[in-house]
Amino acid sequence: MTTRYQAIVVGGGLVGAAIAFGLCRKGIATAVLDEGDRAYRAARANFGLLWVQSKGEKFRPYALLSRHSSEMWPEFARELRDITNIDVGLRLSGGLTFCLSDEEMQHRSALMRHQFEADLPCPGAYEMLDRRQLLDLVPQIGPEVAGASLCRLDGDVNPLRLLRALISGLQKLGGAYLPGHTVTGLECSPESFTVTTATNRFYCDRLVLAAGLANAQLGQQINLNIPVSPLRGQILVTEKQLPWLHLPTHIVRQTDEGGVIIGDSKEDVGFDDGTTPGVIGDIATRALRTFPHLSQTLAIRSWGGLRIMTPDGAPSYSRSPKRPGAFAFNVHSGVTLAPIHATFAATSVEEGRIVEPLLPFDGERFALQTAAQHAA
Amino acid sequence: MRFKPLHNTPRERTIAFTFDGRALEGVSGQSLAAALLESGIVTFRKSRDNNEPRGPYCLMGTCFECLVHVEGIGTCQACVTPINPGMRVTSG
Amino acid sequence: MGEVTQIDIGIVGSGPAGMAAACQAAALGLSAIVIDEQAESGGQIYRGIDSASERALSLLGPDYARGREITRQFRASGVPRIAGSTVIQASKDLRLSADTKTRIQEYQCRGLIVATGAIGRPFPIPGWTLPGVMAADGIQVLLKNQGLVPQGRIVIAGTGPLAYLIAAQLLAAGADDLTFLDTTPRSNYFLAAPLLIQALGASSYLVKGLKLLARIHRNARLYVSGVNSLSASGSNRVQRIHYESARGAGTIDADWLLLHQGVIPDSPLLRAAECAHTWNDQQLCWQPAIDAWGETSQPGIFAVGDTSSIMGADAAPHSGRLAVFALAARIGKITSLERERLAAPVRDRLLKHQRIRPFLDRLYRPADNLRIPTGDTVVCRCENVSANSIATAVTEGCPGPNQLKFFTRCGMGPCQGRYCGTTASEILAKLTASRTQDIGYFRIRPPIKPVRLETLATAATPVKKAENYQV
Repeated sequence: MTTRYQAIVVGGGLVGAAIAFGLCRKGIATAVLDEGDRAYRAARANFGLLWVQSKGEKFRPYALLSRHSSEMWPEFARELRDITNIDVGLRLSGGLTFCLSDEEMQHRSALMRHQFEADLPCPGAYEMLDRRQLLDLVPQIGPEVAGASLCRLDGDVNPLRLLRALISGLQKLGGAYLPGHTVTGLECSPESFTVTTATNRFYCDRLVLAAGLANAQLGQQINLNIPVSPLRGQILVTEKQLPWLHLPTHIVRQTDEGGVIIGDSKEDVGFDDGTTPGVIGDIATRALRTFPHLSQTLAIRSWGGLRIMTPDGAPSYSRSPKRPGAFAFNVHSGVTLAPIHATFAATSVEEGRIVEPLLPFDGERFALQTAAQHAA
Repeated sequence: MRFKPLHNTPRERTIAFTFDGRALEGVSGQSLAAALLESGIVTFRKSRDNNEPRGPYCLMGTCFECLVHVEGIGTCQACVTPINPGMRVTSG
Repeated sequence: MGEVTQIDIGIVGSGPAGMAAACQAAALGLSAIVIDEQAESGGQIYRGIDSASERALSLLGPDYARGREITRQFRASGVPRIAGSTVIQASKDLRLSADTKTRIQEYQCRGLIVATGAIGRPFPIPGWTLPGVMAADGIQVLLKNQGLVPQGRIVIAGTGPLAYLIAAQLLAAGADDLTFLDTTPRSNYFLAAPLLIQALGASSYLVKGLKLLARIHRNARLYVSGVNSLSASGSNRVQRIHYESARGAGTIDADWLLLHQGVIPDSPLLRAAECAHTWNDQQLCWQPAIDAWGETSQPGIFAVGDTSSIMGADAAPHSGRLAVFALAARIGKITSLERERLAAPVRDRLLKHQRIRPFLDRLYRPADNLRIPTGDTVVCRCENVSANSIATAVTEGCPGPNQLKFFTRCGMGPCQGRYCGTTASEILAKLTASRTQDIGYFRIRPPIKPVRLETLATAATPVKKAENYQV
């Protein structure tokens, strides 16, 4: 087995696979080391949303980055299809966030003005739809729905096919995908890195940590402080239905296979990715408030996933200060930012430094944020 | 080819229901699957992706092949759903 | 959400193991409840026993009729039985959630006994998804519950005692054009013979088996042994069966193809509770890891009867009772000394009824090629995933069933992997030259059967959201 690579990406989820895809596209000899079949794998619990409208409310570079990524998506999807023959099912005609009261409408409207009409104007990016207008788009909304924000930069993809396309793509471009290779040790020498797994030892010039929650522990081995913590989300999937919901919404989305995915929760429960009747029931209740016609629909499975949350929820793109060839990337928005990862993140790794537009996302900011909080 | 009662004992087929608009009768206490099979119907639905005909397989509520739509209830497994008078059923 | 019922022992399923556990719990003064998906007691083996006509009883044989006494004892025990309610979740803290079809009802127990039984082993051959191809044990359901027999040309294909029993029952019920394609591999006879010696007291099983075979030989239109290849074809429904055997190949025009190659434990409740499972290479199926009392790797959760390992209806009640003894001692109803005293004779009987198993398992061990398909043969019926698709995923680096599920959708349908999971594990093992035990199985989550959204909504508890991160 080849053990020497120019770049090794630890983690074969949406983040790692996209970066590896980008590196392979540049002709850089890359291997992805992935865990085995049983792993937390946030990628497998992904809702599939390409979501811009609420990103970066406080941390403005995140708003810009999301918009930028959305613009890059159509070309990215085409490229994936050309290389792998896999259509990731991109829909980019807008996304809806429902409001269940006039008060929620006002709140949402204010948020949208802040997002798209204040310091970072983006004309035509959104529209607040009242109930009458919303009924034209989504006739099935229930009586409680007062309206929605519609953002034209939003959409969705099939997350299963996206991950498959990235893994297939990186291999077709000459990269190696090695599952069953959980990383147990990292060592840094002046010229290179040594990455140890249970069965092998690998060597590389560039090391990319994209292992989600495991990045915290791995980062310590290269003097990078990566403060990530799990935030559970539970999801329900229904039986397949004839297409009726043509736009994704923030909690309900109909996939191209016909099943309706319903989310979600945000629970601070540590490393428990189980599902619970109370929360599942709550998810079902909220879905029925929005779409009462789903009351008799069969939910055929549930799942829970652990989001990778940084302290401020925005991505963390860092280069190790002590070891210039080592990088760590953490986001919970692996779908939206996939094109960014395949381009700018890969370029950062290639050049050995974080490049624009990723510079504001240095993980150092968390230390500064904490310091500022203490000072306040 | 259909299913017939044990030893051809005649039974009272008194429960009227429809399947894809077709008027049928079943025996009180029968499952929808049994009533359909006894009426000579063996295709209960078409598979979602390639439109293949599918019918009951396990007949005990575990394989989910026998899915049909019952008006007023939703998607049901025909093999565990008893027939009721006036039921309007469409193929899954 | 309604009140949560508090109970000592929650029993899921009222087949022989569940009913025996209930009777035993009552006898020891423990509070118990039986929650069953079916309307009537009896599980699969004694399905419809309480409403069976005399005619049906005589046709289905004395083993079936014996079930009447068991259900009578169960009713007499006084243990409440909730009918028509599907347990969709068993939690580690011993709480059961049941779908009553209108709401989610919860039961907080001090011990759980899962007696959900078995399902037919998948039989993935080309054309097995055609209408008219059915599981032979499913036909038995129609026979028992509905008094129905298929008309026309019937082909039964497979191996295992149930296949012979069903063929004999159909013949007795008036099926006049029945072909039996016996897929028992020829080598099995030689390999199983030495195990006969261990099966002391198994003579009754053997005599029964021989009698059934004789009846089939006498009354079937055709009996072919050593069938090693099978496929079905037709437009819109099954019309032809193709087979190959040592003696040659053949094509049979048929209206019905009934398949059977043994049963496997149905334990999604236990998987969803994260009970450890092991691959039983003797029986070629997954089963929960249990101790001598039936306790799984989750304390307080017990697996009994066919759910724990395929043992048959005569052994099942004894395994049910052992679980109750263990729980009774744990709860403090009996001392551990009393537990041992009570358990000893029951354990003896359980072992006695299990002695035939190595012989039966070897004799009726299904051939590899009829369990592990290749090519276009459908593996996942719900999502139409073929063996070829799985092979492609493996070449792309898919290491196990959960990545497989993600890559191909195999196992994502409403049956939740019941009819493809075992096949998928075995295919992956073969393609990666690994042991099935190491490959593992799908991650199973509740609800272990589909539930309507409005029913799920009845269990909602107001959720305290974590600090609102931007998502």
